[in-house]
Amino acid sequence: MNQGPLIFLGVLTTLSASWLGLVSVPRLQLGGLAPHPSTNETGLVTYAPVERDGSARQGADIYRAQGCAECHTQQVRPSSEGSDLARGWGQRRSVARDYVFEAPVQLGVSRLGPDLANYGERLGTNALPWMRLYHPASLANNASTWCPGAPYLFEVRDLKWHTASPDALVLAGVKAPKAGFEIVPTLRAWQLAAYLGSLRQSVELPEAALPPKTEVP
Amino acid sequence: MSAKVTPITRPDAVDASCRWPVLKLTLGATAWLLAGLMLKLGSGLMLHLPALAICEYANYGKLAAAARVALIYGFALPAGFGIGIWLLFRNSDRPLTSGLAVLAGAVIWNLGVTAGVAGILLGEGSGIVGFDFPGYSGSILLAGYFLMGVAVIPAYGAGQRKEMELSQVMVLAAALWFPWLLTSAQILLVWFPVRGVLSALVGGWYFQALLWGCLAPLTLAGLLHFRTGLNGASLPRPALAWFGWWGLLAVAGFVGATTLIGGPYPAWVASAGVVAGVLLSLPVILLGLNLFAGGLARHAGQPALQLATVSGLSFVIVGLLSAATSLRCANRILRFSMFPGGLQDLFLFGFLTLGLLAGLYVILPRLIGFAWQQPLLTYAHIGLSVMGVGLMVLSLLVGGWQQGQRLDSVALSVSQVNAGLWKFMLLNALGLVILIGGQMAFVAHVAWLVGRHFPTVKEFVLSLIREDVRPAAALVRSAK
Repeated sequence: MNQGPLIFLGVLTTLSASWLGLVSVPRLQLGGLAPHPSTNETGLVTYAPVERDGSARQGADIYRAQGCAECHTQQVRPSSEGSDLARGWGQRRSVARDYVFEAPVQLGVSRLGPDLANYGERLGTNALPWMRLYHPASLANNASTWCPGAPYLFEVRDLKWHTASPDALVLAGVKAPKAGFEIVPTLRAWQLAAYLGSLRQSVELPEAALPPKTEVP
Repeated sequence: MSAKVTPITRPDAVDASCRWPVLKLTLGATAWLLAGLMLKLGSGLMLHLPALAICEYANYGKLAAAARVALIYGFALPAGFGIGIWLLFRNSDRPLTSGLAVLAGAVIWNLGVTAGVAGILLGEGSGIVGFDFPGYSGSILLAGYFLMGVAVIPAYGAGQRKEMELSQVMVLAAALWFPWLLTSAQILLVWFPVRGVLSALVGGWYFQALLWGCLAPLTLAGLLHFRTGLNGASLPRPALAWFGWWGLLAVAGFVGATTLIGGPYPAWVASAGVVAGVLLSLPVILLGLNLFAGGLARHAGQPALQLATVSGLSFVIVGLLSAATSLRCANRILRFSMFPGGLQDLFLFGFLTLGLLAGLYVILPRLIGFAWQQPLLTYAHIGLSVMGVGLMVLSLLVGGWQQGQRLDSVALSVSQVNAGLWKFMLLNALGLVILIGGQMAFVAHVAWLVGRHFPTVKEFVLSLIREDVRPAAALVRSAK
């Protein structure tokens, strides 16, 4: 008996079923997602999430290229699925709309490091994560980190040829540069910092409400 | 009308027809196995010795992704293709008539893997787990595969006259699944990339379907063939084996949803993941039953069968543990811990690597014409491999369990959770070193065999070219 057609049909059916289930249907359901418009008290229409600027987009490329997603996730699970919210990694769970501008999305598979979905919120507006990028283990609350850092995103500059930079790292001990030298972030470090600063999901969306603010009596 | 008589080709002639393409695929795969293990060791060193992270081209994230590509696309797939091609034609008593095209395809495939690994180290990786290589590398892999597939599948189909065995059907199905999978992933992730969480969905679907729908059948085909071919014992429950096989194929494409549970997807995706994970246990049990009931383990006197036994056992364990961890209560704790990494290592090293190496123990003597002659090296290979894999997997499973529970409790910071992991990571690295030692023994054995019979590589190559049909099977028999 020639079993070829039967095998071909079986293979076609099983693969098509999974294709329909996990690729086509989600594409129909999520492919049309767009930023959600909302009007603030002054009548200005804003959209969430916001598309990143050019520098942060280049930073996203660096994040992908360096393989940061091997150790960091960017997804806050609901309370029923994990302790992410209790850990303060976000105010609400992540939803598909949070990622409409990302290609490819860097959701991550492992948490050797903390979740970064709202790292920009935790970092604050004007702070820059230089020490976290250059030498993470030097941070007081981060002594047991597995993160080797990315010192190659910084350069050592001879102060004979450059004026001292306000962004130079303040380092002590073996990590300190030789006298007359300074360590400063390169353009790529600035781009990565811009990307990390842009990681924010604390906006109200129709499918993911923020928790009610507790009023101080 | 007279019935058409199909000529039967002697096994030695079939081996001779497969020699060059299968040797290219399997020996190239062995080299990639060593390279992949070294890359994995390098990525582990980056975690233990952060001071080494001074070179941008060799940081933890890049090395881990490059190791994945080297092990899956450099080792597992080509080794599976090579063993599968040999198995298809050997079982059908037909020679491989398109060996040159397969050889050319294998060369292109290896170029694609090299470009993929180099691309990742240069920072051009895709950032999608399981599809880590740059887009151009995927195109080269596709070209290489199509050259091999177009050469083999029609040639096999035209010559096939006997009822196909389950192992042959598994190889053919994997050979048909793979190009569809890779082409779909190339289209949706590279050529016309989908945005947002859809890219993670496509990536998860692709990778798990590749593992369970292509690599698992290619390895299982070898295990079932050795069980029946080397032992002369038939499958104890053939109907259940066929049912289990089609069940595995039906579920394999949905296993990807198990990696998405709790993520930013519609709720039904997580439910599909739980259902697929639980359903996976059924084909695993049915196929495991056929592998072990009165068969594989009882006849573990030969190296191939010893490795095949451990491989089959790993398949059953990883299938059942994957089913268990897809349940929400377990997924909540283990999802982002090292536990899934331990399961992946058990699948990749315990099941795939040991199963495919079992295949190499069977087919290499038949292709190069002399039997394994150093029992010490064989025992060292098997012993160190099993010990290494065991240590690697156990350290990640136990460490991952502890890590997951601590991460689930908000009382400890991530830094405090990490502080308890170093001993598990160290054991994992030790296991990897032992596994590498085992593979070194295997490579040394092959090199010793070739060196003993042929003073120079040139002489070895010339001998393979000159002799169309070597009495390899007779040599194997006489060595026993």
